[in-house]
Amino acid sequence: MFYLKLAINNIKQSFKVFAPFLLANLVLFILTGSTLVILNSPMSSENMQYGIMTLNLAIIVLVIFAVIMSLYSYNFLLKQRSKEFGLYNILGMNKRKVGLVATIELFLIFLVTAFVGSILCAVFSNFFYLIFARLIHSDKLVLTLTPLAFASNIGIYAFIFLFLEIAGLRKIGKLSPLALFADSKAGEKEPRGNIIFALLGIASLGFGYYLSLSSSKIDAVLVLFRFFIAVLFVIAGTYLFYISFIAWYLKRRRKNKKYFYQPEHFITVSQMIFRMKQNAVGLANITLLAVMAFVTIATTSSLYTGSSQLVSALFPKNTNITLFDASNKDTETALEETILKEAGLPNKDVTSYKTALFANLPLASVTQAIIKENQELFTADQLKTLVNVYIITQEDYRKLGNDVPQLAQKQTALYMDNDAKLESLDIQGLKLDNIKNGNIDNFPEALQTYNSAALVVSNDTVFNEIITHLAYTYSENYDPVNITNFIELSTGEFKKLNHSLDITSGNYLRDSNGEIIGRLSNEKDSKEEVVTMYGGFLFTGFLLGISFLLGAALIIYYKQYSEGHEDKKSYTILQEVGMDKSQVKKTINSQVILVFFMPIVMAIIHFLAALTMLKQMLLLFGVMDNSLIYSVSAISIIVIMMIYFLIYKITSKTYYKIIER
Amino acid sequence: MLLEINHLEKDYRTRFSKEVTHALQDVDFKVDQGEFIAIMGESGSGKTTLLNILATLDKPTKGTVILNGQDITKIKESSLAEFRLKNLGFVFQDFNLLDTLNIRDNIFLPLVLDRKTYTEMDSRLQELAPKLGIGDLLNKRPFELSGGQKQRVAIARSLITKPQILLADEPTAALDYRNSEDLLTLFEEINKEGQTILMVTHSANAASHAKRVLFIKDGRIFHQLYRGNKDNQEFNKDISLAMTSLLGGD
Repeated sequence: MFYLKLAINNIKQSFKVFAPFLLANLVLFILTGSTLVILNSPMSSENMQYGIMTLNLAIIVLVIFAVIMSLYSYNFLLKQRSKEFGLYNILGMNKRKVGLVATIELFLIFLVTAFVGSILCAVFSNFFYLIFARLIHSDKLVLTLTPLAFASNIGIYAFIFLFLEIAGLRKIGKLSPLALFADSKAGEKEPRGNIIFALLGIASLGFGYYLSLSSSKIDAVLVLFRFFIAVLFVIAGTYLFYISFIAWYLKRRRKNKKYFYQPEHFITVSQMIFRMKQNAVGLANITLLAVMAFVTIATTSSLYTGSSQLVSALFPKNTNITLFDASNKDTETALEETILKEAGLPNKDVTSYKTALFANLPLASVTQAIIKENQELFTADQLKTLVNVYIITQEDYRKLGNDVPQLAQKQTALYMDNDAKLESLDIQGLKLDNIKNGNIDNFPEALQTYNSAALVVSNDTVFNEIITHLAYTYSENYDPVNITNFIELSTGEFKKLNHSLDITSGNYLRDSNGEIIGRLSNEKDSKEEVVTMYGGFLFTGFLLGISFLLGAALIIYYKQYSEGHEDKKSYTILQEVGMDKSQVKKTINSQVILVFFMPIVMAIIHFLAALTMLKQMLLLFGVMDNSLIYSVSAISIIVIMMIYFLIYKITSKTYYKIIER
Repeated sequence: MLLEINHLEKDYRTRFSKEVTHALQDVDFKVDQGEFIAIMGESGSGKTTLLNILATLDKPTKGTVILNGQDITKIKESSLAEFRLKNLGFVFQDFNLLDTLNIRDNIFLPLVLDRKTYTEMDSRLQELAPKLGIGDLLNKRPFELSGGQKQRVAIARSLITKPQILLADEPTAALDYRNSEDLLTLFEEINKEGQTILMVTHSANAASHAKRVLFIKDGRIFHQLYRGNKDNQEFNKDISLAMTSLLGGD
């Protein structure tokens, strides 16, 4: 009973240190809890399951993050209170009993987190669910609160707290009461500011940036790999930058007597050297968390906004019926014969065209393309020339609203997004002249295929000739030719069509023998599909972004708190020696602002450098609109900056309160 | 006359009661150029309050403090820091050195605030350092120094501005006997060269190095002793005697 009283008293007494720990746990508890509630709530449609897929991922990341953050803040808590524990120990409470007090405290915090957290979770999950449902355009607006979700959330946090308990007891076990009373300030050495590490930091930042900035023309799949490498380099570079480079730079400034011995720089530079030593790791963490927030929020919002744009471009008319194995069919009549007649729909206003897709032909960045069987393309330069090529006739390509110069029998035109400079082709001996290179404008197939090109040929004869010459690229019975049909159908007509067809999952069409003959899709359903999927992404990005920012805020609060106590004495001395109050305040301000905004500025630079890569990777998901990505990024930066500034305002109040007390 | 303290009074009112504490009552004395004065009293006697007012860190309720003809209790808040910088030197019992600066820069601190050039600062330091025996400490950091060394550095910091008065608040409180003796001898030497020193202390031994001792109790100065031609030991005896009889002290 005594220990319980002591524990309660402790929490009341040092509420300033307990509060952020409790708050961080509460917020993370609510975030994971709400996600679990949404996951466990019965869903209205299959589509919704799609959107929920990424929430599983969100839970995993959130839990890992919760472990890291609560461990971090619990460690800070223990450190702040080591003197108190040392006092108990000297007053005759053995370590087991000190451990018991710490355990009771932790247990109380857990109870509060679980109890208050669950109540808040029930409230906030509805709010989160509304956001989620809106994002995925779901019409089911009522959330079912399942006890299972709450129970599993409490279970997860019980594990996290158990983990904290073990870590805490180990720490208390290692404490020596004498070390506890040693003056924590005594004998702090100057940071090294090692030039080698400083340069290493700059070099690895530079390399990471280079990897990103130089990947604008690199295959997206390769970019994914490069991104991973670049992230590792930038993380290492960020830590080294804060740990070594800044100390080294400040020390250089200090050596410059004219600069250093001025009241504006004297105190700031000398204190910053030490401040950086204590805070380097914290600042690096804040920077990286902010970058993570930027990346998750900006990419998921780009995906979300870009996806519906993409779908609109995919459907020149609201319904698409693509027929497979169409080598021997007539472009104009195939749709009517196989589908429309049976459904009793008129053959009105259909846009039909025939394409054949060949993967990995060496057409990019070359003037003369030679394509032959057993061609060996292994070097990086050779691999860069490979594109996925759609063959299409000039007549068909014009139907889509493209301008194509009149092509004679053996002439072609190549359209792709970059690096087209083709002059001639030799396909297994079939010689063609390429008279035009251009960008892809209206060609839905290209939007669905990564790294694609359209090779426009004069007529069906050449079209079929190429297919014959390239027959070695696919197996014997495979037919690479599709006929794509776009038709404007009313809802009634679409229902009628749907009824008459044998449609299996994935919207594949089958004939009476059960063979797949094509695929049906319409704009509305496709839009819904991507919206639910990317809506789930966006929601996940939003959840993670919030928690990353929360993590950053927590580190900042602790930083301000511990610095406030350390700086207090320095500023008293300065006033006694003859610095006036306003000057002291100015010095404090400049340091606080510098330390505060350095991470966010650094994070923005990281993010801007990463944009090139992110753009490439978003291409994989069909987001091609650069201006969209830029504006979404700009908005994310502004919003996150505003939140960050708010955090600054709140936490610096704590700092000044401590200083001025 | 360098410093005139006229009928100084300081009242404190605790926040929750109307009771008034008279920390200083009618304190009145004068200090000549080149004097070395010790103000003696027990804790709570008002000696620290007096020092704080002389240091312009606190304002009196009544009375004036005239330094070279200027009433320093009337100086505006915004000019106080500059006034302290140019006229007063401080030595504290816990040294108050900045851990983030090395010894040289700690000593330079007031001059940097006064925007002196590096050459000027350096030449002043070259003059001062051998006198204080800190020549080989300049590149070290405060935590590497002993208490006695730290206090000598603090004295260097206070003297480098060539202050009108050196104010010392229990400068030997954190030092052992030997270091205290060294420090007080140093004060005597500095004083011999013309530096006016005003030291607050509760130790008779420390006070015995001064030329004049003022005794303060319950906020009033009610006795003073001049050294005359006595040596430190004799003067120490006089002071101890005065304390036991007058202050009823330990």
